[in-house]
Amino acid sequence: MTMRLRICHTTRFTYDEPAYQSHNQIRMRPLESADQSCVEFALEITPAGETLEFQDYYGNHVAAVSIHDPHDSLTIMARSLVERVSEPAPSTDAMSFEQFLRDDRQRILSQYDFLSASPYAPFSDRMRKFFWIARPRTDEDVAGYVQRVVAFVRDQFYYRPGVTKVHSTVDEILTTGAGVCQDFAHLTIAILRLAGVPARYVSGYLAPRRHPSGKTPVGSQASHAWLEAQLPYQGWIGFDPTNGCRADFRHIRVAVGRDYSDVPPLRGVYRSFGRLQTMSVDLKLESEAGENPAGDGLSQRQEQQ
Amino acid sequence: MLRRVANNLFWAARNLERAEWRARLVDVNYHLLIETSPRDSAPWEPLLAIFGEIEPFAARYSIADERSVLNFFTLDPENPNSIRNCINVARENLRALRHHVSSEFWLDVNTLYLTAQSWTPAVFDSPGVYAFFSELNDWFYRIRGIRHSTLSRDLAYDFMRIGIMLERAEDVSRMLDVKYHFLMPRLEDVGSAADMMQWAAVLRSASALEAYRMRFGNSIRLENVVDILLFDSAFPRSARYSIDAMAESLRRIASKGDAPRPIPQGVEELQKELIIENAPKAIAGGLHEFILHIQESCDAIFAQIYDEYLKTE
Repeated sequence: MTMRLRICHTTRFTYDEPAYQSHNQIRMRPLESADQSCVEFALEITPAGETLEFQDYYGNHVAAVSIHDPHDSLTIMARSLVERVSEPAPSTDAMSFEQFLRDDRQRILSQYDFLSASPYAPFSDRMRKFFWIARPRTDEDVAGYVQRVVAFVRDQFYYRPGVTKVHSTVDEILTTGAGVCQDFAHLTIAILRLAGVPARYVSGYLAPRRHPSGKTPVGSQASHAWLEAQLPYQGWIGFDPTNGCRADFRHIRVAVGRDYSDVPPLRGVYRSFGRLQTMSVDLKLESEAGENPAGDGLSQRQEQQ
Repeated sequence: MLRRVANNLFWAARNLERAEWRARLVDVNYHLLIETSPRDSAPWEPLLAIFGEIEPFAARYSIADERSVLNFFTLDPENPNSIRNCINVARENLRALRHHVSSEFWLDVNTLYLTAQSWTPAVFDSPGVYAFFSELNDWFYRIRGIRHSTLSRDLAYDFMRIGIMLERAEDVSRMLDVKYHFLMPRLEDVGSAADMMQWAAVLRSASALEAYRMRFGNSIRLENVVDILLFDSAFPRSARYSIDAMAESLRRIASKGDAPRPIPQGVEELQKELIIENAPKAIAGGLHEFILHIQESCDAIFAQIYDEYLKTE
């Protein structure tokens, strides 16, 4: 199954007093991989600034934009056309933790980043305590365990915007019992890492279903976040704990990292004599044929400090 | 800390310590056999006796010879206290708690576990009994060193330490008992060259021979052996040192709770006893009985620790 999707992601900042010396990093270009290609990508920035493009450590595309002159507002519009094909059927070969842990030493060396605690997924006392009830059995299949954890997180926590903040760590979702996709992903990642399974954070978009069969899946109208686990025989496989499922062809990958701190779509600093900045985000996703547009003016979690 | 977590850490550490002492006890018996010509028809039976394992052994083996006892002690999957099973338990307990300890520690226990899975009875032929156990001993030194130098002194460390120290106090006293079981000394043998060789073997297996010589010189006397293995406050493998260390960790754990509480009563009682008593008195009153008494005290202490910190409702 192939899907072509047009994405227009617009972020607009307005300032009460002019901003100047504004430096921003933008991670909005969808990734290239075997099952996803970014056919077109264009970044429009108003006012225009100097742009430097590079790949970060994790292979994400970054546009670094600097605007030196004073400006009252800043608009960043990222347009992309993505072609996505369904992933091949996953390998069904099972591997128990018993066998998996034979390579543990080598895995800790090669996947250190994705097995260690990270800023939003710390191995706090609370987290380690929680992990105890979600720990794997020795004879449990690793891939089966990951799915069990994803379903467990989905079942045990409420999806509720506004309870956690953009800088919340796993401790907050564990305290409040509710959060958004970012928190669901961080929590699942921390559990898997505590169990010794490499896990990384993915930010991106969730395309709406072509033939909606009832309600729209959570996250389909905004930036979305999920995770990938490195499974035996299969490599990095995406899982979406917010929806309790594997990532499928509707999940458009934009950036990967240890956690949210590595991959915010937009991060920057600026100078100003003013105090206030207001941000609005508009996201439009539509399939190439033009049917079923979704999303409009949703407020989202992004940051510019 | 969750009681289940504390319980798993306690047993992980205790099983590692147990595995080590089992290896040491096999070693002492092996040396005793080399040093003397056994008069006994079943020279490996004492090892079974001191662990109270004559019956489970007899249920599956017909004779207690070197091969069958080594197998039972080291490899037997049916024996919950075989060295391999102790390692399995330690590793299984740590598996879900790797981030309560250091990855270095977890990885080394895991590697020892993986190594242990490949053991077959052939290891007693090649590399041979002596080489096998001395290599195993190196593993335990290494794991102890990693634990000592990479773990923060937090609750996890202290729960592991009380597991280690309780096991150590019991096992060092068991080691003294080997000699008792191995050879009921005949009067004319006491103080003989053979007797001295045997005690030297016991000391060597407890890695206490050099510490002994520094304190008491070259002549090996029973009361000094008992002194260094049970009553010495400075030798780190003595019963007294172990109980003191355990008390220290228990005090630290108790002070970190919501309301500070006293440490289990039995610990302080045994501590006092090991200060008041001494080797000549223990021997006069019957060494074997005194050792049994230490082991019973350790059992009682465990029951108190279990109720206070480890039991889950």
